[in-house]
Amino acid sequence: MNAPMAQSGGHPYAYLDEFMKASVRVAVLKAICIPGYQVPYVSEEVPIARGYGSGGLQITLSLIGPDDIFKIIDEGDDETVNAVNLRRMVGEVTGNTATYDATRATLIQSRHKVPEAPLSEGQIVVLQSAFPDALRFFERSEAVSRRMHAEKDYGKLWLRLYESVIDHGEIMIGGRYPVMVEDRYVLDPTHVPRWDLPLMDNSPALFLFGAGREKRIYAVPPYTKIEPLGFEDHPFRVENQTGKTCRLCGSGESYLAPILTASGAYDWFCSDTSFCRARRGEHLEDTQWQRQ
Amino acid sequence: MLAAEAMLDFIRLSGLNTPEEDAAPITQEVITSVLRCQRMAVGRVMSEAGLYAPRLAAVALVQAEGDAIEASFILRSFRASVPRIDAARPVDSADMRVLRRISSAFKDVPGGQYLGPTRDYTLRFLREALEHEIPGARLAEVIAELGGDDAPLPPLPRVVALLREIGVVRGLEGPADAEPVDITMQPLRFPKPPRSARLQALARGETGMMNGLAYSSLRGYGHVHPTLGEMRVGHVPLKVQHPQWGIEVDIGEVLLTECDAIVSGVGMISAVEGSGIQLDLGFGAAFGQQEARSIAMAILDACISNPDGEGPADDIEFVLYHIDGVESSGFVEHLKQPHYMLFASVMDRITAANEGRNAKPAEIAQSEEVAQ
Amino acid sequence: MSLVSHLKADPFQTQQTAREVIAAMSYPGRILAPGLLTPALFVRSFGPVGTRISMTTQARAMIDEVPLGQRHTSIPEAGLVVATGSEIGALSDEIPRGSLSHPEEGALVLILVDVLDAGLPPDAAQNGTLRFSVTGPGVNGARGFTVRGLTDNWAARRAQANAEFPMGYDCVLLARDGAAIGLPRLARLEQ
Repeated sequence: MNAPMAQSGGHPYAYLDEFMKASVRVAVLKAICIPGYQVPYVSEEVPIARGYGSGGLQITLSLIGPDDIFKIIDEGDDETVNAVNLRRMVGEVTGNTATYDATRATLIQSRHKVPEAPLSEGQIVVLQSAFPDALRFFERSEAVSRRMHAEKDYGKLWLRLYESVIDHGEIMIGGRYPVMVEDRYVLDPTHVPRWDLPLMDNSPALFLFGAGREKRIYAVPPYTKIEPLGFEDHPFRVENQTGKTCRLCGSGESYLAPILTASGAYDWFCSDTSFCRARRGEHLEDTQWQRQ
Repeated sequence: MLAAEAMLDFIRLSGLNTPEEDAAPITQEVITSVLRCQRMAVGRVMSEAGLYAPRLAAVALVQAEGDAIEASFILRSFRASVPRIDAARPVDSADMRVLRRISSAFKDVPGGQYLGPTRDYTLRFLREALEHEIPGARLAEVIAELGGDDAPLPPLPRVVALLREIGVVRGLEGPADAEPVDITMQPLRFPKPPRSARLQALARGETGMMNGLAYSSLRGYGHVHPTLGEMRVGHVPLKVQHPQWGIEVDIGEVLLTECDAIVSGVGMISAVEGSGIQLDLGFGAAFGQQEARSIAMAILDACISNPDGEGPADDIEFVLYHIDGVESSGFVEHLKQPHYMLFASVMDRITAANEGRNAKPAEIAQSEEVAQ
Repeated sequence: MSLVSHLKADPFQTQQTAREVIAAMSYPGRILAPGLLTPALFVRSFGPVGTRISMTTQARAMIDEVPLGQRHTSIPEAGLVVATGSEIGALSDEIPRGSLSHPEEGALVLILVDVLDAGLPPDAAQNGTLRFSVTGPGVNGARGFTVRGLTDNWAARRAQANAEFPMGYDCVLLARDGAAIGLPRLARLEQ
């Protein structure tokens, strides 16, 4: 492989200038040192629109090096338009290798899904976050929610969960299920399915969350306790997949997403498409990108 | 996805309904014509991007097929990739080569009022005759009409500076040489970011949102209904300190619009120790000739500086969080992305809840016992 | 000016340094083999232009080049602090710990020590080698390390400074041979 060039096409390696990278890197470090706390950072514009993963992209581009193998998924799928677009962006500004195989990727950027394959030490998962603050559901003001986090005052949040149980017999939260990190901060894990939350608890890998538009970075360090909120008699539950298996690979142990069929019924598929393909014995391809 | 980009270029270069024999104009000429004939769009894009670069703004507008927010995003993204070398000296608008200068607060002001190039009093008849305009002939006509008065304008001291001197308008908050905060280098901090940060965030706000919010304040959903102390449009020189020689050098000039809004409504004036009652000031500025947004900015500056207001325009977090066009349009448009997992999760919850509801009475009684 | 030299920073060096430190903080107490990390690169990688930094005279003497573009201030005002292990005990009380609403203002501290090891060397008792056990987030169970060139009162001072999580400061220990260890404020150190 040729020695990587510092400058190409008017941009440095990984596009961002040193100021932006250093701003992100220090925010990432603080986030790791204060698990669950949303670290404010500058978050300048990148060529991807706000709301399309700019924060996740900033983290990926600030951390990636020539030896990294990266993977990008969106709703579990490597091939949605947004995943393809982000992969193109990262590939063209780095010239790195992209993979579909979560076990070999060193950096995984994802929207709304934690990879199903078991992760190992040294891997970094970067989740794209739209709503960094779990309290924003019912507290519009940043100044007020900041005070609540500072004082570990989550009374209003617990009340909401309780009201949900009273009204519907269930905690009516689908994605963005609030979790308590190391018994201190409540964190919004983004729209990953509840299914994925046990995958984040005490994981050997590092989880980083980038909210570019809201300008916050937060983290769940490796081997860290995360506890989804619940009550003794109405505890946290993952999605009920009883009797459902993936139509392609037969898996009942991965998160399944529905497709609406013409008859109005649901067909279920693994949302993690590469996991599904690996189970079916398919080879997961790598792509070597060229720096533009 | 690559096909989508190809399709955009196809439409841009051949048009949706254009006959095939019409050749597309050379793109470079299109950019020049946008720069020359659409300077209002160019000014808006520069202001929202926070980057003074007229030709690049024109390129962005052509690239975005005229979508102003998209163009400002492209330009802002470019700005983020350009390294910062140094800060210029604060601009002194007393040095402005004025194109236009008005004051609503006074019938006349030192130096005089100059209407300058404005559409304010034009009659809005659609000029279809523009289809047949011969630029050379029209230009000659116009030059003859304007006459040849090239005499420089008299000095135009800032009206607000004079009002401050006589104590009618409140003095500046904080020392004049305090270092301004740059929100592209430090995050905004609530509940009350420093004034330089507030002004910078407002200066990059999306024009439509600013107009709307300012309008709401004028109509009574807020308390600020100011009088314009002064608005001026013109070119100001930009100076920096030379990195080696230490002296001040001129690096060019920028076209600016500046606006001072004097706030005089009930509830906005307050007595200051030793000075009696004084009026407050809202300040607005923009790149290019951008009058509506400058006035709106001045109104919003006054609104969010006062902690007591109760309308949406007075809520500093509401204004500063929702005024950014790149962020707001990005997030609104992100709804087009797949959200099927979220939706599946929502449906799972509803199914679970409905199953609970449909359970027979005996079963409910059983689960209640267990809960106890 | 100084900003121009900052522009010429090698992006690969700062990237690799950043990853080394991030790995060290993610797995506290685990000794990172010598890599690129130096005080100068530490400041370059985690000090965007305008960061307030404080470097003690002793630390400065051990560094080849001081990166430009940052503002040098006293320790209580700094975001990044570089000091030697022999002075850190005395300085600990001055290091910013952040606030409840802004704990990220607790400083990032690079402590220059002599030796970092996973095991206990034979001459440990004579030359003031300290041994620690680390527990907390990022540590699967407990991790042990030894260090020489660190005042023996620092562990207690650090515990005091970090007693009220989320306030506290975060450290990287860097040995002369380039080995390093990360100690975020939440990591518990026991001797």
